[in-house]
Amino acid sequence: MRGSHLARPRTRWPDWVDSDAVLAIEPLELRARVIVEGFLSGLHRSPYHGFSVEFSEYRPYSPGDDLRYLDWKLLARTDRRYIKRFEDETNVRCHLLVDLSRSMAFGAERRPKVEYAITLAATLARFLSMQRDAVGLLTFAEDVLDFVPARHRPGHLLRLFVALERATSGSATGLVASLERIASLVRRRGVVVLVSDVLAPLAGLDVALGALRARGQDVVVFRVLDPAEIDFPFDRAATFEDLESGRSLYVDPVHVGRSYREAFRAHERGLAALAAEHGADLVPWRTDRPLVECLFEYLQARLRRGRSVLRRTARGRR
Amino acid sequence: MSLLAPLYLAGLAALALPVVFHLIRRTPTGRTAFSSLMFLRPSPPRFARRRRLDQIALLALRALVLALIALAFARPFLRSDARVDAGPDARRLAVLVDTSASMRRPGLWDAALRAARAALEGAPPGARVSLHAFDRELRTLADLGELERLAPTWAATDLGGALVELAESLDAESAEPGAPATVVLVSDFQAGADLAALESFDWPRGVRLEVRRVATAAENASLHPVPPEPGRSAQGAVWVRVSNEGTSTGERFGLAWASGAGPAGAELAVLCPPGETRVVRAPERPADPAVDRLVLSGDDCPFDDTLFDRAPGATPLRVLSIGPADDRDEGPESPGFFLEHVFAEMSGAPVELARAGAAPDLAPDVAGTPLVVLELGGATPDPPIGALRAYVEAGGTVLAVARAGAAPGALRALFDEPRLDLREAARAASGFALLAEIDFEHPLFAPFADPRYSDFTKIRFWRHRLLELPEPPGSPGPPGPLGPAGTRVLARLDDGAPLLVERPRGRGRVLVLAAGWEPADSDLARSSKFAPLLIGMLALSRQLDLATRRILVGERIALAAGGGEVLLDTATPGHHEVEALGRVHAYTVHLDPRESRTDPLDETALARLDVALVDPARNALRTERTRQEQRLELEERQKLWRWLILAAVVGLLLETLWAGRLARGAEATG
Repeated sequence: MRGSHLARPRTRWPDWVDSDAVLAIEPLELRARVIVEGFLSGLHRSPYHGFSVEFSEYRPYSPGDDLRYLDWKLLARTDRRYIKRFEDETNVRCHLLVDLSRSMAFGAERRPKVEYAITLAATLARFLSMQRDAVGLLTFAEDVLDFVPARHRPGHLLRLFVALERATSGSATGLVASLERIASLVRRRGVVVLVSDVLAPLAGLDVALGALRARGQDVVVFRVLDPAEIDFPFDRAATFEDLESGRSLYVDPVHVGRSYREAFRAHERGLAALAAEHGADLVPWRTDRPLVECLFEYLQARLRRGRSVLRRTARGRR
Repeated sequence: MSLLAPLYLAGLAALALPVVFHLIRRTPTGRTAFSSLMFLRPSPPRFARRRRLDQIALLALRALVLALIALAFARPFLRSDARVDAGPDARRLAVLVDTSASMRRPGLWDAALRAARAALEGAPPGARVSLHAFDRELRTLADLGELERLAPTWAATDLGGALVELAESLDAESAEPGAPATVVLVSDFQAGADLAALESFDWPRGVRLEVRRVATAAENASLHPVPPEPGRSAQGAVWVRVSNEGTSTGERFGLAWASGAGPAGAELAVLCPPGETRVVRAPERPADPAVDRLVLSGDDCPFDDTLFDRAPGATPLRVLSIGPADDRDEGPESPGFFLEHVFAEMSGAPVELARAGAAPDLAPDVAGTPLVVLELGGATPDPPIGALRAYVEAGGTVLAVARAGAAPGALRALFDEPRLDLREAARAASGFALLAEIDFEHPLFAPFADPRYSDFTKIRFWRHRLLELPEPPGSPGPPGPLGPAGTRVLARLDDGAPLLVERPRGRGRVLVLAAGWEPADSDLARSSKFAPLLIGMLALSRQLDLATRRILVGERIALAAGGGEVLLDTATPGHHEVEALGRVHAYTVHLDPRESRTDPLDETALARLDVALVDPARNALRTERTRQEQRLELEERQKLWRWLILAAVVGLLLETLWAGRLARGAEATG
């Protein structure tokens, strides 16, 4: 399979153009386009051209192929029979779950996680939309904020971007509730991409992920984390203030740093175990990583976990 | 210790800064927003115990330095020195409070007490302060408590007298001439205040007057008796004067009789516009003998709305006529006929004419018998000279009428002048003589001084007697005094002969009329002047009669009683009684009418009298400036701030050394 050799593309960006430069682009739509086009231009130069469902191409007709997918116009022009394969493959319904809780507003030295998160979501949305996949969006904080059903139609992306640019809010991360909600809203199978820091208790997540999987949803979790959240590099005692609950705590990192890291790793392990258990793909995403890689991660995840889905949708390949 | 710039003490707030810095060092350096505290657990704050103790000692030093600097900037000085220094130059302050009757108006007295208290409290430090009260007299009070126990009196306001007395005493007690002294006058400064004493007073150079006027919005109208006038005296009615002050707005008042229990009788409406005076005839007096006053209603200030007026006493006055045997039968041509009728119409007490022969019952009861008419001439028996002299000495009035054929013997005895001569004057060519010179200043003729009444030309004297007294050497000619004992010619005829001569004697007087009033001698008895003249003669003695005398509040009247004197109580207006000479004398005290003139007096009235006035606002400013200058000077002299700054510098050096050593120690151990 071609897609199995998926590798990181060489982007057009020099190394010194980091994510910040992209994130500085104000319109989300433009930002997403820059990333996607950069990704694509890099992709096209890659030797691993052509993979799986998301890319449109013609395939010579071979007997047994469904005539419905024959490109009659091309046949009329060139007298050759080609199958428009991708049109059949783009009925993937992808729902982006974006966490807009206050904890996403954290950014120790870089931009807030939420900017990465929405750029990531917007990039995915644009990329999927270019593939004619239907993209939906559910933003949540403590509760569900906005829900945009998965569509593929003109202007739909813009709606998604408007919903994404909402300010962070809420005093907690209603992760479980939003997963349950999307499970109840989305009846057809598809992909659910969760973009969140998952800084919430794991209790209940088990059931919610199970419910999603039971409905045939492919779950990809982009866990957006600031490096400071992972490494806890603080060295001065300070009053730490919870961005969500407003609770403050006097913390001396000298004493607490190790225990923090241990607790964080334990949580991370718990989450990874949970994801593995339910067949969800967990992508830890540090905000110091280039954003363009998210597409590869996504596609990799799709390839890793979603082979059956691909098979189901890519009828033309049979 | 006092401070020149106490605001700089606010710099002491900087003392909190080291504490705050210490506290900041002890608490976490800041707040860090973090996405989630779910992986964090609280850690206890760390403190370095030893370091904390050291810092507190250092803190105390820093605080001390800051305090010293703040104190130095506030520029302290020792005030005790200021008081001592201010001693010789300290001013003297006399607070003079008006206690006159006009201060009885509503609200004035409280305001005056407040003003006096404020004046005393505002006295400059080190000043010698005295407190005085005045109405008709100046009194010195011990303290404010004594003033607070006082109340306004009923007396008039002799502001001039009080100021003169006070200024003199202030000037006299100052060691050096022109030493500063201030009189703070707390008064309503009414128009009726008497400033006459200031007119002839040279106001001392160093004494300044500060007027603190107390004012009230209460309107005032007053009620006072009208002095008798010839045209009104015989009406048998009470005439009063109603005055309305210029600051009033009301003009309708009511006038009614009253007793001590309350109003009696109908009220008379009186219309008196502001600033004007109306003389009105009081309503008819009710028959009730308890009714003894007239009350004016309709204004805000009752203190001058009562006029005490008692019905004429029941005991009649007696006029004793010593002369020839009963001549009433002679009809209208006889002198006694006119004498009998002249007093009939007199208002006030009834007059009873008593005729006596040669030995009359003549006790020296001047009050009961105010006039003795001694008719000389004709078949007059020898008069009781001794009794008459005693009577005159006691204050009585003897009118000696020289009729035709009068002998000078009795007059010589009464005048104590053996060379006195009395003879028939030669008839004038015109057949009569007229009155030419009249002494209108004498109380007898004063009522006629008004040009309406001063025409005596209708009285012709057909014949008269010539009274000759030995001229004192060097004395001027007529109508000068006739003798060394103060004999006064009250009226002279056009031929130069004295017609009416007064000779004082003791407390009384002897009057000599050189012509008879009967038609055979003159037209006097038939003229309109006759009755007022005789009634005036009656009144000359009756001035001593308390019942009819108009006594003002505070007037000093002594009544001869036995060997000594009885001083009348005249402190309050109203009807009073005093017992002297074996009988009870009733008298009435009236409020001084000037006290009712409550319109505010312009302060320039004092300035016109050369009184040095102080503008209170400017004075306060000047006092404050002087005080400030004094303090500045003291501070300049003491310069305590230098020592404070020096101490602060030393403290800073210590602090630097100490902190440096601490830092080095910390580095060494760290």
